[in-house]
Amino acid sequence: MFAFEGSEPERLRLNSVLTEGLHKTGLDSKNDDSTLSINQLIQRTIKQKGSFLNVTEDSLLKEISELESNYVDKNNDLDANVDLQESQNKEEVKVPHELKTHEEFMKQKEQIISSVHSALNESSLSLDFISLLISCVRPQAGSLSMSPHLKQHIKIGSLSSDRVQPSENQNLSQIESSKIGRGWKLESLNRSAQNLKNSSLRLRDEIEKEKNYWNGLIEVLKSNEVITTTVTKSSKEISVKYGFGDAGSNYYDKGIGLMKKNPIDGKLYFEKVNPHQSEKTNKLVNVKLYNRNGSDVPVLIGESDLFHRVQKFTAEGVTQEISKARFFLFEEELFYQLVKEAATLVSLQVTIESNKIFIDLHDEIIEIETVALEDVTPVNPELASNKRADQIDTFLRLMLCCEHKNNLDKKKFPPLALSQDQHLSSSLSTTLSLLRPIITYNKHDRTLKQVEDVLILMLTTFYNNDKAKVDEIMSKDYKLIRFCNDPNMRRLSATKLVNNNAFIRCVSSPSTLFKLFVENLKIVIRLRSLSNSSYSTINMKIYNVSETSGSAKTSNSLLNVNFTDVSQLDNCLNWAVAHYSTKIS
Amino acid sequence: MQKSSLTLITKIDNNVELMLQKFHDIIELSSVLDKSQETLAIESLQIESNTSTIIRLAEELLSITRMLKESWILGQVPTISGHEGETTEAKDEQDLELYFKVNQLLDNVAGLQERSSK
Repeated sequence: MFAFEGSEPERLRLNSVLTEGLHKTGLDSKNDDSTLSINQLIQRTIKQKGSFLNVTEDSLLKEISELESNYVDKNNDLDANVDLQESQNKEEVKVPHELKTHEEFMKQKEQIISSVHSALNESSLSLDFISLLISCVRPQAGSLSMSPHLKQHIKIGSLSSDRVQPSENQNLSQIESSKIGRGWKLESLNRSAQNLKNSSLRLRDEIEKEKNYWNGLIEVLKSNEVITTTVTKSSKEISVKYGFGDAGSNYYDKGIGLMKKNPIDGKLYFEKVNPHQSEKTNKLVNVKLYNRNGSDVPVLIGESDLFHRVQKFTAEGVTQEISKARFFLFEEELFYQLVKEAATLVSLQVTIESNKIFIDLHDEIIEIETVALEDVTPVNPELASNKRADQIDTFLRLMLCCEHKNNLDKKKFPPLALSQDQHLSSSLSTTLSLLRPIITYNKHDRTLKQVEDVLILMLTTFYNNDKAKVDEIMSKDYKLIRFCNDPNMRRLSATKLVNNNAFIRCVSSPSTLFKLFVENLKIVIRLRSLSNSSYSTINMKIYNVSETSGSAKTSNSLLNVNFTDVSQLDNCLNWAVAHYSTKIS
Repeated sequence: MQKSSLTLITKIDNNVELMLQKFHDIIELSSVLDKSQETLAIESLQIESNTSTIIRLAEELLSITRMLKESWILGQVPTISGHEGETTEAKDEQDLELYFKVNQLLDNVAGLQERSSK
């Protein structure tokens, strides 16, 4: 046994080196300042305090005074630190309160490490001992498991042993030992039986939980949810994808929920994975309509019916929760996209104030805001425009779906080669249009009305206030073709849409054609409102239609002018009709 | 898939066989006869270790069923009811219907109807 004392210090040294290293990183490195060379010291100072260039006498004085005041405050703490350095064997140490948990953790970690080390030491020592003992009989086998230190200092096979003769009352001890052994075996058999029983119960419980969980999962699967796996911080977990990412949405929240197992009864429950904020409130997009005819303060005339929309979320169950999460994810994205679009529509009298979007439509105001689920109340049925507000709400949702579809279609395109023109690829990324159609069509409609008024006024003056004649012309010789740029308009009988795009009218700029026959003149006015600026252009063409040989008509162009304003059109039209018409007044 | 199912089957077989083997071992070890005290001590420990091996093997079997379930459920593709076998004509019809409805809605929300009815 003496031989081992030589090896002991070395192992202990190894041990202490490890713990020392731990201390250096973990606790206090100030001590080392004195041992550093001047180069290292300067480097460290620069790292801590910045360049020497900025050091002035004042700043140094200030720092010293601060240090002194801190010293008084932290006197106790410093004591504690010193204590800690001295007592590596973990006595009770007074530590600052806020550091306690960390300190405790470090302490326990150290304890564990030292225990492991000592266990390792012990086992190595006993291994050495056995090896040395064996090496006497079988040198080859013994030397294999010997530590190098032992091999170096002690000759192989230098420890020998003798068989101990069994004592005389061997028989007696045999019976005794078999008695004890019987007891041991009985004990361990009992323990094993108990163990097996317990774990069979546990496993049965587990199976029951699994069954619950999978029943829930199958229910989710049957409701046509997409089930995937998600890699979380700790492990791979089964999750459900309820978001709109696969439908073309590029919103940051992909809408993934983990399918968790309740640890108590194994029931399935649903947990959203939020990439950013930890807590989200369920909000709905609400539309309110205000009228401001006459009064300064806008009057509420309509509100979308949110109460009706959230009625369906009363039932319990995982599938319900998923569909609820999906619903609110859509609402959240809708409002996000609306705000994003509204920010680009300042020129169209769209303003954003305190998380509300206001759209000024001349005589009325559309207000779009989010309402928390808890605050949803039934709307006042008295309001006149409730239905319209609700329709706007629906329209916005539909447009977001359309947007998603566009995105999806875009993804189906093969990627463009980089060498191709840059503008080609940029033209693919169209701007959002959720609010835009409402505004442009509204504006367009107002201009349309103005143009119609101009035409009627012109006719009235032309026929010297002959109301009957004007009405007759307006009903017979006047034709209004709306949405003339919608390709589907030309083929109404067709059973298939152009490009299968049902939203083509909503995303294209509105355009209207007016045709009017006055005497020998054919007046064609084309009104176009651009959807990205809501700027209207008016093009007027006047033809002289002369009847030659029966019913065949020939026409020759007299005028082709562009306007940007209805009043310009008014002037020009009046002049042209007076100038070119063959009617003799 | 073929390969992994084969490995799974062999794993199940192995586990079952091992469980039986361990159980057999326990019974064999429980005899006392005239073994020395040291042997008896070791054997009683072996009994317990065999027990825990059996438990572990059973747990492994359970994890195999879980794995099978997982790979089954992940292989499921949601079926969109009502859209299967649908002809393109029916889809076109739907599109057309949607087109008219959306346009109607646009008319309503942009305030056209209100004005023209005035």
